[in-house]
Amino acid sequence: MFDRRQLLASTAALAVAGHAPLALAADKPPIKVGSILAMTGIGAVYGILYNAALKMAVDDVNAAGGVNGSKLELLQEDDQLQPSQSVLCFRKLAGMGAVVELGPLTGTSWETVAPIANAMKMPALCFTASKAGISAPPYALRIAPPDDTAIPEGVAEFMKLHPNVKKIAIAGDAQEASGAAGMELFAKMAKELGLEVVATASYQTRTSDFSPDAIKIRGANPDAIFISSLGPTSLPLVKELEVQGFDKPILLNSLVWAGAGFIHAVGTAGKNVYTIGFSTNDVDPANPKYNDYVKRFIERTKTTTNLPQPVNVCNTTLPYDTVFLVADIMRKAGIDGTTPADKARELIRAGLDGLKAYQGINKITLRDTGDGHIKCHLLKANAQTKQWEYALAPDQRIKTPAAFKARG
Amino acid sequence: MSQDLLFLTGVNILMAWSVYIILLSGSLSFANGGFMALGAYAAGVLTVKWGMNFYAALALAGIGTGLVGALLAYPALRTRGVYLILVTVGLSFIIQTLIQNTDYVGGVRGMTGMMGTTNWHVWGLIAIVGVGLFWLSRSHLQRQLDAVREDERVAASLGIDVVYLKVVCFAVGAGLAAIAGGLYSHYMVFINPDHFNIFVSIYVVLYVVLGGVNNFIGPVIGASVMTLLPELVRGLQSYRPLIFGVVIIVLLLVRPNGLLSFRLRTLGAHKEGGA
Repeated sequence: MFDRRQLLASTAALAVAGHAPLALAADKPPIKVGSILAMTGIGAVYGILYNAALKMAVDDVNAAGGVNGSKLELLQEDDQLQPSQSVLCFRKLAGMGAVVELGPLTGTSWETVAPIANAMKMPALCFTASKAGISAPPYALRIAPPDDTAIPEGVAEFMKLHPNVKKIAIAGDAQEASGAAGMELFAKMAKELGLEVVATASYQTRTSDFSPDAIKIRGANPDAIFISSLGPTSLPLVKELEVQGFDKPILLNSLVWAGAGFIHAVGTAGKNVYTIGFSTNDVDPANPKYNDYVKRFIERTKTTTNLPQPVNVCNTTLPYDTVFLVADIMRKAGIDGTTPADKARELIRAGLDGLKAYQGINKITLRDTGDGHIKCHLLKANAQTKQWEYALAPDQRIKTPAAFKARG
Repeated sequence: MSQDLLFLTGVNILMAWSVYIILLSGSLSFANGGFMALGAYAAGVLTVKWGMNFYAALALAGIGTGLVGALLAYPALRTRGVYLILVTVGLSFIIQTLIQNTDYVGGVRGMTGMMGTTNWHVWGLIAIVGVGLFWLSRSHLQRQLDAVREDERVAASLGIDVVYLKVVCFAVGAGLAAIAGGLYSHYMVFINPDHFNIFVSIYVVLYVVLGGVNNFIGPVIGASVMTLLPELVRGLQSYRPLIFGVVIIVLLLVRPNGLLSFRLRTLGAHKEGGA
């Protein structure tokens, strides 16, 4: 028989033993994950949105017990959409002990940071940037589908919807890598489809007066315009085209679909505006995980950000998936907060080396170029609901993806 | 202080000295941002596209830009005062526009891939240039430059080759700005023409004016204060430019000759002082 004192001692011992793993887990230092986003300036409409998705993912991972007993800690740096600042932020994050870096946003920044990631042996994962051919395996991979698959997929559906388009004008941001690369891809697509390019207009990221470009384009009388530039840059051009009475279809690449602001501000100028993307805020009957994400993300961003409402979910699933992908790799490699940063980075690199596909909210196929692929579709602006919606009905959408080589 | 801030302070000191050297002969240049761009791009092309050694690329960029500076200086220095300032402002715009329209170096998109600069390179160069300027400040050459700066006609009547001294100072200043540019591009990895706009030239002149134009330590103080000050008031966020502007105005009112306005004694000054 136990007396009262023995019973209390045994109970206390059991309680301590039972909670020992939890106590150890709580004591483990966090795993530092860096992110580089534009949180101020012209790119803030993107950065604030993606930051909300990253934070939601980190919170979800931590709520589920973290990674091998360690919580994830998100270290956020603001590059103001300046590639040279991205470099400084990247070095800073490495110095702070981040084991992986997520971002930066634009093609120019990614093109600049990717080689440094390899030189510093620090894994970096980009979840946006649309210029093709600039990822640099093994350390710098991009989860997002670049424009060399997105544009052919989007243009194919655009031509299906507008078969009478024969003459086009191409406009874009010649200063930003993704903008310039998008213009080249539009020109390539036009050649392949036998479309005549009757006008080309290039401008720079911070251009504000688009009247000369709009006059030039309108004067050439194209059947449609293909535009490649970031949302804040494209918006005044689209508005100027409306002011000058241009009412033909306008196709913008995915730079406009992503981020906040464009769809909320385009108003009546958006009545003939299309973009390219792989999701909308609408329910996807085939993907309950996505529907749950959309519901939670919209709810969460109502209170945690000052973004225009209803928030544009667009490709925010990619930063979310990226955090879970990294957490999976770290879990499998046995990384926790006590793992030295250099060793953890090497283990993450090894995990990325073998990655051929990832099923998160999105099904991402990895290409031999170090980029991701997700099948994109044509989206149309709805000025009333301030949302992007699929331009074609599900049975009308083109299912065949653009040609690409998957990782062997 | 972070490594990046240390680096930027160092580059700004070199840039301030590049203006100071030109100012030694009485000329004020607002083209040094342009010369910095020439050096940054030239060194970048040499290392990234031609595969040249980093140090050789820096030296070539410095010498090449120095020669360009000398060529430009010869006609430009025929103008005086505000006209010379306008000519150098024009030079700055011409260089920026030329780079924007040169596809070989990326045009408006910019150029990437330059790596290799460390703080040791920047601060090592500061030490070397600092020793050189200290030697200069103690030399007879400094007195000739003082004479040219104070009154060119009197200097010429004393047998000083005014044009030669002015062109050499302009070329050396341009060369130093170019080397600073080369170091900058190989630290920042990415550059585009916007990094070298007219405001860079204006800021660099401000470093010298606020620090003091009478000795080579003034530009060091000016560049350091003006680089570090915005970081110290980072917490003020959008009010930073306002505070920065107010500090500049206050400094100009309180210390019109710069923070350090004393003159260093030149070689042999004690003999004449005692005579």
